[in-house]
This record gives sequence, structure tokens and C-alpha cells, in this order.
Amino acid sequence: MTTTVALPGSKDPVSGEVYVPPRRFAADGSLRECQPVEVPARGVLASWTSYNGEFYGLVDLANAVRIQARLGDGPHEVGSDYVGVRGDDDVVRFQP
Amino acid sequence: MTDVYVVGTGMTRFANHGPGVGIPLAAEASVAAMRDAGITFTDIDILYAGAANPNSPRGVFVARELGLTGLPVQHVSNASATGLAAVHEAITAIEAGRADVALVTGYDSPDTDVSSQDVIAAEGHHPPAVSFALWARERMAQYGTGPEHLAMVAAKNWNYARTNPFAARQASEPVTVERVLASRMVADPFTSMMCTPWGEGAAAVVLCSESALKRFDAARAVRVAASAFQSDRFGPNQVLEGAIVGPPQLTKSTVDNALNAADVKLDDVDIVQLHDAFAIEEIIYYELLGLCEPGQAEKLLEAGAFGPGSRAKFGLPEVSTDGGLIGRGHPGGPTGTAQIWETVRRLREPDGDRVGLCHLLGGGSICIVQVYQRNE
Repeated sequence: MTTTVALPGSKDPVSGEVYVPPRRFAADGSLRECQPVEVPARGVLASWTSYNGEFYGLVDLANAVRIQARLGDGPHEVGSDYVGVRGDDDVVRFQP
Repeated sequence: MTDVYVVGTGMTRFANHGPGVGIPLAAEASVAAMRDAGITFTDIDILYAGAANPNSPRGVFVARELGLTGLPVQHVSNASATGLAAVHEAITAIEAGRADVALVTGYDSPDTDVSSQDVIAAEGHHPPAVSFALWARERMAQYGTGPEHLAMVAAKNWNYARTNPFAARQASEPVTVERVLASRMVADPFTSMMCTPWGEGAAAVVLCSESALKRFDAARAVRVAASAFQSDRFGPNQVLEGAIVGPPQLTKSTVDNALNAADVKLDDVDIVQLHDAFAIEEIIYYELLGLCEPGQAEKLLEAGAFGPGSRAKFGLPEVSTDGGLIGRGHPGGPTGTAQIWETVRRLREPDGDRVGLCHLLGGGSICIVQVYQRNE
């Protein structure tokens, strides 16, 4: 049983910069409070590897947000569209 | 503002010493540095103790081992860059006139058996090998970097380590690219020989002001030409969770600041100690230092650049000359002071190198770059 997820994030109301995971303040040091947003767990795989039997990747989400995330079982293909799903172990893994 | 000089260095071998030996290791390196400088602990105005593992003993306990002389003791911790961070603080204290002679001791051996990798995981990071393997595979797609290029870096550094009695890795025979490639796969494309062995150990340096230099052998002193220190500036591809460090471009701005502050041209740098915990880092940092154009590092490695004789043959510095983090090892606390130990060793050689550069990242991330010059 898996569930497609949205990732918790935040948005700078002035610059429009989106952060995942959410930040309280904008990254520019202005101390502007960010607004909570949900970011669809959909993106393009930029790189991947495996370590101790687990797969990891860099996923480029919308709004120029890059995350380092767990992946489902390989093999994987850079440049492909990926979506995040929450598994029974409550971990979000991205897969094609 | 006074110039600052390194007048003594000392270190222990980096190895799997295990837990519970932080104080004796730190003391051994500290005593070696003070004896190299020709002084005792009574001559030290301030002690900066650097330990990256939060379970390593605090600096005041290192000081107590050396003597209860009443001096100020500051404990510094900044992940892999701890050693250079502690030296940066000592430089600042001397420049500010708060001390004439400072001892900086980097060390790591936790009181309880908690590894560096456990500490990194507790901070919420994925294993470091993962983050850098992701850098590697991205570069492989972009520039055609092959596993053999990573193995060339690793073999070079393993072979430099064969000349360093304090290195953790002591191969009994020259290490080949083929042997590196055949070692155990850790995180594709990294094999175990392309990754740092971590470990425990200690390394220490004595620094002094210009006015205090007359107490020492000035001919053996090495001048601190600059120490530049930055943290991440938010920009493209900034990963906020999981990755142990931010985008590698942090290195470029920190190196530029250090060279400008030192009034040194990159062409004048003879030796470089880099943060090569994973082989891909060294390749990327060659380019961010400005030693070659993006995508050109692999061809230079194939030709033998950045190893012994690189200056004469290619006009490029030798890199990771003590084995680097891959060959010498990488306990977080003393790595920076071990880099200085090696830099000073090379700059003291008759007719040897004149300018050395040390570079480290600290998880989070920060970057420190220091420039050292022969005292002429």
C-alpha cells in the first residue's frame, strides 16, 4: 500500500522562492516570515546512487527546488519524471 | 595588524585508535608541536582545541594534561573543517593583540564509541558517501568522467600516503588504478579505496605574532598569508536536507577571497591540501580553485598532473601531498592541523615550495581556505 504525497514547504512572499523542507525565514537574511505551502512530490531525476542496499537521488521539483531523497528500487534513469510515494514504513521514496 | 607565523607543528599517526584516547593523542601532538617550536606549555598564551566529534573530550581537559597554567582555553567544533576553524580563531586572536603565542590542537577520539558517521546521521544527513556519489554521477553525465578518473585521484593520494609515516593508509606496494577500481563498491561509483577511512588522531600547530617571532627560529617559520572563511550563500541547487554540504561553488568564492587577501596568484601556489574525502571532490575542486577549465580535469589527470613533479611538468601544484583525506585519513578535529603540518614540512624544505594552500569544507556547510608562505 503506497500513497502519493505532497511535500511540506514554504514560500517567501516577496521573492517567491520556495523551500523544501519549509523554512521559517527567507534565506536572504531579511527575516521575512515565509508562508507554508505544499509542493507536489513530482520532479526530474538529476542523479542517483545506491548505498547499503538503499537508493538515493537528486530530484529537481517545480520552482527550481532540488532535494536529496530516497528512491524506490533501481535501476533508475536520469532525466526521467519521478513521483514520491509514502511506503508502509512511512518513508517517502521517489520512483518513475 | 601583525603578521602571524607558524613556528611549530606535530602530529600523531591517524588510524583506528578507537574511543577513549582523545587526551593522550592530543597531548602527544601538542608536545611534538611545542618541542618543534622549542617552547613549553608555559610559553602558550591561549589554547584552541578543535574536536569535531561531540563525544571527544573538551579542550580544557587537553589543557589540564599539559599543565594548569591559567591560560584561556577555547573549544572549537566545525565538523570536517574543525582544525582550520580553530587555527582561524587563533589567527584572529593574535591579529587582535590578545595573544602572542597560541597552540592549536586538533584531535578526535570519542569518550564513548560513537563514530563520525553516527554523528553525521544524528544531524539528519544521509551518509556522506551518498551526497558525493550523487555529485559524481551528475558530473559523469555532464563531462564523461569515468570511474578510472576517480581511481586516478585515489591512487595518487594512496601513493602520497606511502611517504607519510603518520598516514592511516600505508600500502605495502604502489597502488594502481586497477586496484582502486577492484576494491569493494561503497556507493556507485565509489569503491572503498576512493573514500576516506575516517579514523582517529591528533595534529597541533604553534602560531605566533611578528613581535614574538624573535623567540623562535625565524628561518623555520611559515607566514600565514590569509585565512578566508565562508558559509553557504543560498543559490541554485541548494539542497536543504539530507546532503551534508551545499553546492560545491562555495569553494570558489572562498578560494578567491583567500588569494586576494594573501595577494597571491594561483600560479604561485606550489602545493594544495584539499578536502578529498571522496575522490570526486578533488576533481571538482581543481576546477573551482581555477587550476583548469570546467571539464578539463580528467585530461590533466590522465597526463599525470597534480602528482609528484606536477609543478615542473604542467605548471600546476601538487595536490594532497600527504595522502589527503583518502590516504592520510580524516578524523574531523585534526584534519586541518594535519594539512598545516604537511604544508609547513614542504615549505621548510631547502629550495622547496614557497606557497601552500589548505582547503576544507565543514558539513552544513562552511568552507575555509588558508594560504601559507615560506618566510623569506
